[in-house]
Amino acid sequence: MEAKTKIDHVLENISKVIIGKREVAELSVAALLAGGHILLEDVPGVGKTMLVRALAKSTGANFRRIQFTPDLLPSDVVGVSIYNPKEMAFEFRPGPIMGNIVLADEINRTSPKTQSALLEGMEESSVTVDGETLSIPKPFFVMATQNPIEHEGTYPLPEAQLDRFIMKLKMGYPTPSEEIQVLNSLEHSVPIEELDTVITLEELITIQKEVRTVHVSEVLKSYIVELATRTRHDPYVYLGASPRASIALMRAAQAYALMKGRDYATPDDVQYLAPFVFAHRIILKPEARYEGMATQTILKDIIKRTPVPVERNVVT
Amino acid sequence: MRQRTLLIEGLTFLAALLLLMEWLGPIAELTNIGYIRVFYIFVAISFLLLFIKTPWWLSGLVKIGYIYWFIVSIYTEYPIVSLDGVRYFISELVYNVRQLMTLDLTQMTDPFRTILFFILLWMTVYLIGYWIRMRATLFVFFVLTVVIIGILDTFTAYDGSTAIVRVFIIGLGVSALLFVFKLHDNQKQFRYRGLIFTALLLLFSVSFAIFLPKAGPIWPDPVPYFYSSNPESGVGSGGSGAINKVGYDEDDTQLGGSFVSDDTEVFQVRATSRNYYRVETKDTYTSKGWIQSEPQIVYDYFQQGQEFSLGFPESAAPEAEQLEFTMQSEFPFLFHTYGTESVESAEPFGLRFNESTNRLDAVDEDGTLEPTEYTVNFAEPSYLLSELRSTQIEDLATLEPELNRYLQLPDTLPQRVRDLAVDITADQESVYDQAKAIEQYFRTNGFVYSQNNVAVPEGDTDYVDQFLFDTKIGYCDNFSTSMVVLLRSVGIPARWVKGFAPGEVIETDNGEQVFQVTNNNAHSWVEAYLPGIGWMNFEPTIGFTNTPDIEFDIELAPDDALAAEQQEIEEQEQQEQEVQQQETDTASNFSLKPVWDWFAQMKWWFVAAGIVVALIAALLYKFRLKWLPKLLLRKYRQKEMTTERFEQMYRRLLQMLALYGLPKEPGYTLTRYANQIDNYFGGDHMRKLTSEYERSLYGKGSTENPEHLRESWEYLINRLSS
Repeated sequence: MEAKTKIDHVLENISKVIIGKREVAELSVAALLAGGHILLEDVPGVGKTMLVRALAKSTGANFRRIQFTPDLLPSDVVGVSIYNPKEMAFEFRPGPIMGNIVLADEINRTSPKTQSALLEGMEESSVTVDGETLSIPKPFFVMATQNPIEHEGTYPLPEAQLDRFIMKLKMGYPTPSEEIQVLNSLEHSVPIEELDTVITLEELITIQKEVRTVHVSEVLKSYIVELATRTRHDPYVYLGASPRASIALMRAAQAYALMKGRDYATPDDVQYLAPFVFAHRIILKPEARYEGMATQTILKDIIKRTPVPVERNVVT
Repeated sequence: MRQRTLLIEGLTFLAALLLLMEWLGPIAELTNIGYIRVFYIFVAISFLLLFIKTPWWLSGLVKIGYIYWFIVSIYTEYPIVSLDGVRYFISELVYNVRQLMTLDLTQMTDPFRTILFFILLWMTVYLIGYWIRMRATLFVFFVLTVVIIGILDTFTAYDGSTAIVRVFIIGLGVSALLFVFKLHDNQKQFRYRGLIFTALLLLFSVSFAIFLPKAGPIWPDPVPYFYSSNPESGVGSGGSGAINKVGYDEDDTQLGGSFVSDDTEVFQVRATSRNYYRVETKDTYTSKGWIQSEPQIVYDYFQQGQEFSLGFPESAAPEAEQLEFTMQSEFPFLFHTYGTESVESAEPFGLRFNESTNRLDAVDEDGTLEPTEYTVNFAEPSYLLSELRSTQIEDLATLEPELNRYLQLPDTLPQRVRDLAVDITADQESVYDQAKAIEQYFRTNGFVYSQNNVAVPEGDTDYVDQFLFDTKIGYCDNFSTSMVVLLRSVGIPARWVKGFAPGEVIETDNGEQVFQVTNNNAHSWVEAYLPGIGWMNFEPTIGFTNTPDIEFDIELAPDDALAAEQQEIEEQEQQEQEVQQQETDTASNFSLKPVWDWFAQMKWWFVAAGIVVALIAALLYKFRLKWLPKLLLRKYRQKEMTTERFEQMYRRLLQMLALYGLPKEPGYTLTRYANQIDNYFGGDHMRKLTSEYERSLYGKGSTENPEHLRESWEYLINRLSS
């Protein structure tokens, strides 16, 4: 499997700068291959930026970064047309969104207006400035980070916008030994600067196309739909997974299967990815929160109770 | 596609409607429900509303409206659309609900019962709708219908013989329809082919079944059989425990054994008096039963209406009486009674009288016929007591030689029987008194009438000897045979008579009565020859009376045994109806007796075999893990490995693992499960198999031949059974 080898190279490359965190790296790559975007929710300083930069560097992608602040304007994101007196015409200055891999840092620090400018770009892969629509170059991958909502001075993202991220991940702190390794690796050098490009953008696009050829059998589709349906009917859930969530899960499973060197997705892929894909799209009822139920617990429970299709003719 | 679904669903609803009507029909018939059509229409409307998916409130409104309309228009005079009608309807409900609350069920009014019945129908239709829509099966309902019709047919007057055919056609048809429909949900062509095939098959099997010849019922009417199979009856204490069914049978070679009653009607007869219906006599006792000696058979032929005599004394009655027979079962002979003079019928046949058996056959040029309606004219023979009393015992020695066959006794007859006969008759001065003494002997010496616990003589045992000295329990055959043997032992010619007792009066009309004679009335009694007088009938069986017409022309002493007996007989006659109802009489046997005998004798074998089979099945089931895997190994060893077969084998393995106690959690993926299994058994066989199965199931279809996995599969299967 050629694609797998290439992806393995990328992951290996990333692991040079991100010690541990194999899972987050894998999922990020999966999201990239699936053509989705990632929401990283974590405290500052755990390596979010490094992860994205490593990813960008490994693929030779054009890396951009937007630091969201409360006073950031939509034009600071998408770009602005400026009058050029020489040419007697408006000239478009592309904003930081016009990159291949974009780190949108602390997205919930900015106003909803600016947030939606970014999210619209993510969804449409294009931006509209002064009535002119400009498409964003491919591949286009946004990794947005947000502080945990409890932090002060944040504008929580509305549900509709959360739905646009294929997955929400958490970095988490490294283990003490990992942290020591991090210190060691940084003692004398800056590894990120020594990172090589292991695949080209064209190869990345090819792999992205290949993801869509990964087979998802009928029974597996019904399993995905069943999982989504169950989140909608769970007594603790106020808002369940949308059909967009089902699509996202299928796409993620395809990408993940390809990374594992398979040309078909399995229930294992789906089970593994479902919490990352569904969790941020589900809103619990207040009573569930009072009872200390977490979204992850409920999802795990649903996965545990939903029968995995193991025969061909089970059509529910 | 949608239309086809509708068509199938419509057909299913129609079938359910027809099946439900099969329930309503007998219920209406048995409980005297009037206006049954209204209920049919109600059910039909309910189904229609269900079919077109009317919202619940609308269909409820329609049904309530229908019920209201029916109640108000049937039970009251109010116009339908009137305040009075509504008020009446509501007051009915309020009143009866109160009765229901207080459980005062007897106080409920008829309109409310009708409403309840409507509601029951409503619920039933709803349930059937659920079966059809949600479960897509009507099989349960079909089976229930068959059962209910079977029960009603068996235990009530309802005749379900055509209903059961209809139910089978509808039920099988609709089951097949639904099944085929479910089976090929996505393959239209298949479905249609299946339907056509089903219809053809159904048509063929039903028409084939209709044209097949039908055997009569092998088993007796189950209701009396159930009664008789309570612990007190059943297997006889002294004999092999054969249970026979009551009725008329020509074969009397092996008497004895218990009986179950059978109230199948044999014939009805319109008459002005009670009579015994004679069929034939037998003359040779074999120590086990009766056969007919075969001296030269002499037939007398008569025309209809032609007068003849059966060799009994003349009647003193001023005019002849009539017996009008209407047969339900067909017999190749005519029932007649004492003093029969002539027979008439609308059917063309002649009469043939067999002098040796006293049988009266209906014949034409081609042989015997089975007449269905005929009239017997008769005048009951009369006897003078004075003449009877003067019959000389000495005259017995000088009887005509042709009466010798009525004196036959088997050589093996124990001497104590002969001694007993002499004892009983020792003090009697006339032949008549001797015969009477023997007849009376059974009433006083501890004999018991019973159809159950009646012994069958085995080995060398003599039937009469066993009854007289050992068992003393029996029915008419025991009593009559014993009396004949005792009479012959003292030299009185006697013969054994078969026929039917009078039966029950079911209709009284202008001095005439209609008697219904069933198989339970089959009977046997005795005729004795008195020198100088001729044949006379006797009735030794306890609980039965059939006294000849005797004119008491001499005075009887008050303590005379005959006078006492006369009184006793009168009392008995009053009780007779009861006795006849309670204890059904048994004549010899009935048709298909050997089959039934066999079943009855083998009953415990069947039960034992059933238990053994059930036990083996239970054991096999319990220890199925021991043999099932081996069976699977064998089954699949011979077969070529294909992807499909591999999938099948893998699923089998999953089943076996579950059986073993390692079921897959529903939420586990196969990979996770395979890890669990391999941890348990060691090795990586399950993982290998699972990876191939997953590729085959979730992938695009494998091109690889899974032959190399056979080893892993066999390894695991073997582990399971070891």
